Amino acid sequence: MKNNLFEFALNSLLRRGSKNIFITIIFSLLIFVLSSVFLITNALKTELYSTLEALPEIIVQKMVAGKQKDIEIERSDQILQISGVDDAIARVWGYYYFENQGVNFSIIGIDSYENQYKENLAIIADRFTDTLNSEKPSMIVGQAVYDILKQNYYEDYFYFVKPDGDSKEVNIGGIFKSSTNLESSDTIVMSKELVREIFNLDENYATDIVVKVPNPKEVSTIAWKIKELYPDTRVITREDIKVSYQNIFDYKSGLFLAFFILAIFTFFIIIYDKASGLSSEEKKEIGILKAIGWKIDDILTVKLYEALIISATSFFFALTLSIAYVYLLEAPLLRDIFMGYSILKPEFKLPFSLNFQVIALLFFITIPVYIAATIIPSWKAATLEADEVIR
Amino acid sequence: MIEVKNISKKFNENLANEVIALNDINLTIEQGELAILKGASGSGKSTLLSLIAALSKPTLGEVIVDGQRISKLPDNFSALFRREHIGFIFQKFNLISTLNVYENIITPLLPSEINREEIDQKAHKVMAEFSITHKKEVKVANLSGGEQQRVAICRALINSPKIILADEPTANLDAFLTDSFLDFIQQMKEEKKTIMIATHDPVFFNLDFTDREVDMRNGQII
Amino acid sequence: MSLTTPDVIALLILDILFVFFAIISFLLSIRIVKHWDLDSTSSLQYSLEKQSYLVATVIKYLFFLKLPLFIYFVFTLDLIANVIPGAMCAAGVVNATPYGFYLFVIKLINLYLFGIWLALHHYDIQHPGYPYSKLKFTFFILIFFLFMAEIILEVMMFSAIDPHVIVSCCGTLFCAIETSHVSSFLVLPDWIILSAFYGSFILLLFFYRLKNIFAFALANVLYLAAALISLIAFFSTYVYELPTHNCPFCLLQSDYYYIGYFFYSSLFTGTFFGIGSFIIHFATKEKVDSWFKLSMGFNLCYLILVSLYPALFYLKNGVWL
Repeated sequence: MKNNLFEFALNSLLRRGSKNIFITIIFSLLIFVLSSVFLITNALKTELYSTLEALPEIIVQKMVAGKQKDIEIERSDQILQISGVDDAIARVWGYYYFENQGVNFSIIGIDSYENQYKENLAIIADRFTDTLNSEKPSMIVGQAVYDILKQNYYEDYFYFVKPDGDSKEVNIGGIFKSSTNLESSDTIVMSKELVREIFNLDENYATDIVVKVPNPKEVSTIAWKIKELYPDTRVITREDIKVSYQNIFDYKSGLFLAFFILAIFTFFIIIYDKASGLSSEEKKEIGILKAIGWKIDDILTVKLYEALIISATSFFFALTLSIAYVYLLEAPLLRDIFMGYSILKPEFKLPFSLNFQVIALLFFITIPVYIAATIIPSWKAATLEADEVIR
Repeated sequence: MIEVKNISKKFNENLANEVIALNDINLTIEQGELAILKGASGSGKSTLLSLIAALSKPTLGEVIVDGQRISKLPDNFSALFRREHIGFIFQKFNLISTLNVYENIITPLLPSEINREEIDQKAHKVMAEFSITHKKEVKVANLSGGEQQRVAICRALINSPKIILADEPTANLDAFLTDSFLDFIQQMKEEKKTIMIATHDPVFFNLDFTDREVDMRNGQII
Repeated sequence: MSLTTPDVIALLILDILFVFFAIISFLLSIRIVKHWDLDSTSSLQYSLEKQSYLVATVIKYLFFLKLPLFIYFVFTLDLIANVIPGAMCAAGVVNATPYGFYLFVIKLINLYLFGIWLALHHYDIQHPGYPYSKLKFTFFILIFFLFMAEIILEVMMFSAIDPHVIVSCCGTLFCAIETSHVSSFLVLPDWIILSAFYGSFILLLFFYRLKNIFAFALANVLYLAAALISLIAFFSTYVYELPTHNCPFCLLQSDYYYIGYFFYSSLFTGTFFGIGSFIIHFATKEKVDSWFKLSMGFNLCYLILVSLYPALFYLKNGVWL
């Protein structure tokens, strides 16, 4: 019954192989690009979110003339007074531009006896206490950083160039691995004193202050209070960051999608028109089928099956290829377009982030659209007058 | 029994190139009769056959087959009628050239509710009857004229129709194949099928097993 | 558009497709209703017959796409909840704009209507006279307007969502429900709500036995209402194991194993067959026994699923919430 028609549809596609393969390839290509874009953005999102989770609830930055400036350390004591605040920690950190490789390293200063604002740092502080407190200036680097330094022949030590032009030799005292790829790929940890020296930061000042607030419901109130206390600061909550990242991603991918769909649809109309305007042979075949007892519904069913087979095959083929491209090959070419969200960072591995949402989105954007494009042509084919065709 | 009442068929009605293919045709064919529709091309005999097969709809009049008014059946019912009651043999066989013999023969039954094994049984039965089983996997385009004829006949017969319609069946055949076709028709007659053949091939005229000969010219019976 | 999530764009693009096809079908339906005459042999009638196939094909396409799309729609709402401050599930998004609730309701209604149209079509083409054709296409003309309303509401809702405005979460929403009509029901004591629910099921059974189509359909409407209210007021609290959490949308999240999808699909399918059976029978006098059975089956399924939660809770803990 319906299986027979399905087989017939399959057979029919194979019989007109070249045309159908052409359509399948084009369609697969389109889905491949779309799918890869979504997979990459999804992976980046996931990566970013896991980085975010480790962030403190509130970050306080001092702003002068619209730009960030070092903040007075004593402010953290004041902030600590606000009820609901668990801890207020002054952070000392910065970006160091490594010219040879053209990348930025994040340099984070920690003192091993202090509370750390991030668990990873606490672990590092613990493990590498000796290194941090050693006589010889030493640092602990992320695995990817180490690889880069080694590539540039810095195996045991590194020379930082200070703002005044002098160089500072720092020993590579250890390597750490981090739970997220983004971090370990560009992070260097050393004592606060060393960081201050390298960036020439005043000892009464810090880069920013992070505030720990255990109760999520109180975060916005406390943020507001801090702003009241220090009107010259910018107070960012973790939620703000999360939302703004999600919006940026969505905006970019949304825009991309909108234009892409336009392109797809135009492509479709043209291709479908060219490729499947019925040849006289196909018209004859339909006429014969109707003459020997096929209903219009039967012919429509076959056409639907044909469309389903082509679109489903393209879909799965393209999706699989795309997964391999993004996760196995690390998406050469495309990922560079999307990595421009922040300062140049060293290479990192895209985490696996395939989920139902992405697949559902891809499905609804592709297969129903293709089938919609086939409705009118299929109907035209199925309602041909049989007797005129077979004379 | 086939009753044709006051049938007219116009193409491109009310347009500049209007063609009156059939004009007030009346005809009755009893069950089991063999009727020959004689006439030159353009006389309307093919159009009449396609109306009887419910393949097209008349402009005026009605066609009644075994008490059922088939001329106004909507498509899904007319298709069913064709599938169950009519075996049509076309002028150029009209086989699907890219399919093989077996696939061509079973095509009429594919949309039906009949399961695959039964279809297979019917196909083999009819292929055996016309000695084409040994070629069942061969693409129809690679067959000889005679073999194609046998496939066309098998396809027309697979659903055991009561009515056989043939439109210029011998137009592309040589004398030998024409003879074997006549044998086939005689066999059908013996099986008490109702047969109508539209043709201008004189080999069909004045046969001793024909029941009726109907002359047509310019869309009318003369 | 302040929301440019790709998922929303996907929905909107499909909406454009829908509008295109719906308008074509609408125009054809008008022609068909005006001139349809199956006995006629004019070329107009023959082309109308052909066009009726196009309309039927389009409606089939729309319906079979709308079903999974509805689920995807709910899923997308849940996703957007992440971006809207205060919303923790789809409930917040639905209430972020004045359109959300109506959009939801009209989507459900349209699914029912499309389903009924397809049933009508199915019965129509089984008779050589195509007896219900004019009825069927007139019905579609009605559906068209509701369908357009749905799409307009959808576009308006998504444009109106402002990620900077804080919305209430279901915690506050469902003490006094989405629209205050239902809140008055929530204040009723549990035993009244539960009697209404189980009572309406007994009515269903009763009329099912009696084979009274009209009463059965009415009982289905009652059952639907009672089921939704009891779900919000009582059963959902047992799914969440929290007496104050009444949200009908959080049921759809992964934390609860997406049980909400099973609840709602069985409930809506069951009542669709129940209510639809009357409409079909009224319009066509066809026999609708299979509809009865399907309706009873799905409604029973819902009852069992939903009752399991408090039952298991009591067995595990020995007390009610």
